[in-house]
Amino acid sequence: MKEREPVKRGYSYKAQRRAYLFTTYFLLLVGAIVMLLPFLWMISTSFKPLSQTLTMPPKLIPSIFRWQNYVEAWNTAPFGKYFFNSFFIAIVETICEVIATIFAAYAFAKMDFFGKNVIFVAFLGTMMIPGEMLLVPNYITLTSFHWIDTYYALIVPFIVSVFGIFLLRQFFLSIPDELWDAARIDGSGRLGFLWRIIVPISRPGITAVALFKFIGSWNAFMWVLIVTNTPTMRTVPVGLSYFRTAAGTYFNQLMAAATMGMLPILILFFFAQKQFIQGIARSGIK
Amino acid sequence: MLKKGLILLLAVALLGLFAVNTVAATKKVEVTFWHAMTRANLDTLTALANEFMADHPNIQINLAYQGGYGDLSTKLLAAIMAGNPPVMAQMYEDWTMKFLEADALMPLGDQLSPATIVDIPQSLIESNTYLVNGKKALMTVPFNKSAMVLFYNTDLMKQPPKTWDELLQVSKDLTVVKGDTTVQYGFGIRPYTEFFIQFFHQAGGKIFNEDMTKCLINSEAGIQAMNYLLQLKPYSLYQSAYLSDPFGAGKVAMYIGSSAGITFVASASKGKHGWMTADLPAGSINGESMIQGTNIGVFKIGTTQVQRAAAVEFVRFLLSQKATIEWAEGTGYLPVLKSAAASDAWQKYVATHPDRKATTNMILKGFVYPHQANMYNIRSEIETAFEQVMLGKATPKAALDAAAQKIDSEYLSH
Repeated sequence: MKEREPVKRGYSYKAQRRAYLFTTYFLLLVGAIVMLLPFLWMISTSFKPLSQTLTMPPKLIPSIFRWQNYVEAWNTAPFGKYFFNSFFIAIVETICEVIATIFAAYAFAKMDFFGKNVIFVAFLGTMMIPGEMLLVPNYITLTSFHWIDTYYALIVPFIVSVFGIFLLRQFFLSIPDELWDAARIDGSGRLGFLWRIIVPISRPGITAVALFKFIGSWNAFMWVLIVTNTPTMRTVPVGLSYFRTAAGTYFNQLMAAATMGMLPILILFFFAQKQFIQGIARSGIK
Repeated sequence: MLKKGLILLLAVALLGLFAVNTVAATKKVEVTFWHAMTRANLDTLTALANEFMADHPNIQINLAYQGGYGDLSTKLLAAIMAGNPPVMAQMYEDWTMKFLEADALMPLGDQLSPATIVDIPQSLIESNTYLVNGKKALMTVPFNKSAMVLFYNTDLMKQPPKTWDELLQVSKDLTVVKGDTTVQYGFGIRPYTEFFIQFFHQAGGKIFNEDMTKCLINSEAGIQAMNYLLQLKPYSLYQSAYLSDPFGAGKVAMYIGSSAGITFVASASKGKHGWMTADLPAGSINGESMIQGTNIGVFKIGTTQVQRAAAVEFVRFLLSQKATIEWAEGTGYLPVLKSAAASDAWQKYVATHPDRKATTNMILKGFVYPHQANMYNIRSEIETAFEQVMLGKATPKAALDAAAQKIDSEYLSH
């Protein structure tokens, strides 16, 4: 009698699941380390004496913790004023942009008007012009407005963001038109529909636009430097340039100042991360 | 009644005139000076400006930091196009040529005494003199100048090398290899243009021909400099980061770098080993050192006659013996007057700061880049060739021929 062949068994479901989880967590861990390393490096360098900042092999934990780097960094430039300006400009810019973007995105997503698509494509086309090319013409325009060295120059040119409009338009497009029909039956006008229905539904998208703007504004360097002349009008990133000299960079103090400059963004992200991730995921551009 | 009224009116008018005159007399002339100085350099500049303002109560010097040199250059170009540059600014020679194309600068040679001009080292006069409307004119004045010097570890050698041959020999002798690892390099090579040009010049090289129509970087001097650096390479730490850190850590026994890095060398070496600066080891033709740094120019567009006159007054002050010594002491830059370098005050300072002796010597043994508006791009081509040779990707001749050809066709042909 022919012996029965043993049944070939694959790996058990449990083992497969374990391997899957292991791979997933391993990749996530590698990703997390890659993302976190620059931050750890920044914090570690911010405590090192200057002579230990670029040693080979590199040391993550400083042999001496030099807390004075923070004090010295703070005293190198008027950082108190820089922080105030960074906050003020970023908050005003964000509020103004969110309002402008909501209206523009709504028009492009939910209203029909002559040349809508052409205008939208033209809007998108402006994203392809590098910012550096516009630096000089924009400077000349602001000079003729006598806006150099004022908050107007730092805020007004950035109130409209094509990227923000694009992002929110994608978000608004995912909201069914039937809601508008229902709102109309209930007697709502366009403005009421926008503020009572579209905006509350789109909170994650709006948060994403706001965060992008806040971070962009907080990190802006070249424009701020170009359109301001006095320290009283400048922001944190300009302060960071004080640690570079033609002969070398004071990396320890630069990293101390960068750590201080990064804190507000980090705190903001912790509070808004859920909305931020949802906003990116739901707008269809992840 | 009418008479009384007339007298009253006259009195009021006179009082008004007096008031206007008083305001005019007390109103200060504002001179904005755009610069890229930070930290100790900015502190010293601020102290000098305060000193000047104390002697000139009718002039207000507004120092405005505009970021690094790249940022300052961008901002100056934008401001000139918009017609509102500052009254005065720091500037490199290639930027100055662009500003002259826009007819934005006022000549400064006419504003200085012949004694002052004679007192400025010849190489610095050359680098500040431009051809304007067919005539040579001193358009700017030297400001923050540094020279290339040799930094050496005094715990490892008593006498620094004086020639290229000695430099090679000492580098060989001081290179320590344990197993597969080099624990100490005799020398350090940082692949940037000025490093190569320093050796190229000492081998007798000229970057361009007389009428600036042809690049001569691939001349015999170029090949000789590259070959020499290739000989040094096995005994050198080769890295694009500043060499002050490995030098301070004792990993590099000596290197050639700008005197502007003295404070970084001092900080990196503190508590680890002794160090000193020395005159550069001489090449086959000369032992000259490259002088780098910016000059000061005064803008004639967008400024008033009174502002320009006040700026010239400040320039004269900065070029005084006392101010140039104060500037050099506070910043580590060179005193830009021969009389200042030879003065008792400076010699006394050098006696207590011996690391400044070599930099002082180099003022009179200095050379500068020739004027070329595209120097930024040309430097980048030379740097690429230098790197390719050092990394073994091309022979000296092939890399320098390619660089010279590109520079000729892209930057010198029009």
